[in-house]
Amino acid sequence: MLCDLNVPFPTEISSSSINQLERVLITLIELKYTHVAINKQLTPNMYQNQSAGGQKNKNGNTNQSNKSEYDLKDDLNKFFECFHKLVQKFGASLKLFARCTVEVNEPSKIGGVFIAMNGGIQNANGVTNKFDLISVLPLSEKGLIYLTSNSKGDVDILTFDYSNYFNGFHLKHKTMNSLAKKGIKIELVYSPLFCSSQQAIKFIANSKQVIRTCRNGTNSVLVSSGATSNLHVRNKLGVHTMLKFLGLKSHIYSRMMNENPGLALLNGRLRLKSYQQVVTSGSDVVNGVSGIENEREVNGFAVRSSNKRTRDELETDKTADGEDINHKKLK
Amino acid sequence: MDKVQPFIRDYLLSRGEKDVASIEDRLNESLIISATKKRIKKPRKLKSLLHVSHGSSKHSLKQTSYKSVNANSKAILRSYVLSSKHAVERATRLINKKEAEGSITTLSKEEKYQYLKENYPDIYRQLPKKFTDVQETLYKKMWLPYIREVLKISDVESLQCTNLQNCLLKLSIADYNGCLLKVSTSRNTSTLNTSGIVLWDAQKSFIMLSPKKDGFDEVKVIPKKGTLFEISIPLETSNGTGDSAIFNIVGDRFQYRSSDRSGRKFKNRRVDDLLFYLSSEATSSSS
Repeated sequence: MLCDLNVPFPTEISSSSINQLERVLITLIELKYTHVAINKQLTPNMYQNQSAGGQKNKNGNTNQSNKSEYDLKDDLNKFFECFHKLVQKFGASLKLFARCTVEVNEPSKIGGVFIAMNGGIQNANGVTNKFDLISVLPLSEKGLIYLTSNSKGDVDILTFDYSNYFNGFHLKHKTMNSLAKKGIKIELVYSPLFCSSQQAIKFIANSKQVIRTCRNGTNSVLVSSGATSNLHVRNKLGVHTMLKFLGLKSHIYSRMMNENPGLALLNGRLRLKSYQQVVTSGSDVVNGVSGIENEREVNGFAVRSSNKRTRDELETDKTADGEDINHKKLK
Repeated sequence: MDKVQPFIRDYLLSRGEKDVASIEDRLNESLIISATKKRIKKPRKLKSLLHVSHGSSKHSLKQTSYKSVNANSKAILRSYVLSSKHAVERATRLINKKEAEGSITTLSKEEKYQYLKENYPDIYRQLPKKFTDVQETLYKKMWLPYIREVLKISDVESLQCTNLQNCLLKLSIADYNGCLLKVSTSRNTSTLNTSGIVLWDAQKSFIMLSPKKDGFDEVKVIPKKGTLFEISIPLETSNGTGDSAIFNIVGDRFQYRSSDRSGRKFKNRRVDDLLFYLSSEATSSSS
């Protein structure tokens, strides 16, 4: 499995922007990616607006009228609508996941965003859609400290804005290691390298800093594209050369590409599909029921049906004793 | 106390009594610490009785030598597993020998059991119980109704009105003695696809009675670590398609004794040890 856990969803939904996104996805299919997450980014203005009316006046002096019109729930419902269309279109060749990135500037103003994101967003038809992955993008040092101290296993990925210098904060071994111990993975987004020379310089400086503080990032760093254009995506070999250029060794960057994204995905999916990682519903958590024959989903439960045709097929296989009992019991 | 202190003379002796010693006595008396009448409250008889009985019942429940009892149970389980294993080995060897000699023709599973019962009753007695019998009593009559009642699942329609997270929570604290489990993925590939009825839910392993085609049923000890166990609860359907709800137990997060598990608060942990989950998926999807 080859994962790309960051394909940004356009901020404004239009036919051209969706086209651009589809083009990126088609390129990813060509490059033999299997698991792709589509990323919806939430800026602080988006969610702070929803919580309290008093803060609105303090924050937004510039364009208050625009802000008050914005509706987070509506926007997320639109995102899920587009997401389901994309799943229908690309579902055969790509496994798509919904990811939400929350930009954290002031921890005191977060409110219940994470709880709301984990709880799911209910649309007009009464169907709740949930994000598979939840990540945090700290804009200040306070945001990073919030993540180390307060999050209770509801965050999968920590990501940074690599195209700008980290303003006013310096990463430390201690914070990054405590995050790695919790199981939060740190993301390296490589698309700024191909945008412009200025951004590339900043990317190199930032990524070197991240890799240094994560102690080479064997267990905690994952790589994803973050590409807004299809030209910014690279295949496995391309990413490997890029990481080698950053001074990493082969066993480390192969882990960054293969295992760590998978683990982040597993963490996120287990949060949805299991009770505290103890009991899960369905046999395949990451891919869901779509990959397995005879299985379907009823209200979140995985239901396996054994009709006559498949039973005969399985009996001819005679793979193991276990399957026979299964059929006996079902009869 | 030769000199009368000015404080005593001025303030205490002025109240009629001129003698210093009597004042001293009075002071000393007040210094004695004794309980007031209010404090000495006799416990009510009923309460004390209850208290005593409660304590005694606790005492009777308490294992005085918990360690030794635990060790004994371990030893007994171990001896049971080993003896049943030996019995199965002996029985199969015996049957194979007889078949090679030509004294008996090749027998089916039922006939083998019957043959042993008639000719070698001592070996037959040592064998573990037949899987089909255990399945009929322990699984179908006892465990399935129990779990259906706990989860409130009967058919596909009932799934629509039950909450998944609630169901999973109940499954995490349910009793698994008598449950039919199947190893769906495992780090140890030799245990893959083995299934059986749980005889004992130990802390770090499941002791299962697993069926064998054309042979004697065996008792197997399958470690929980690095293993996913699949439970499938059959649902009642009208049109006869055998639907069943599928749940999986993650063995790594399940390493508690069943008595400890009931009151436990599980926590999300780092998933790095569940990497086998992903790799097995990758292989299964590629194959």
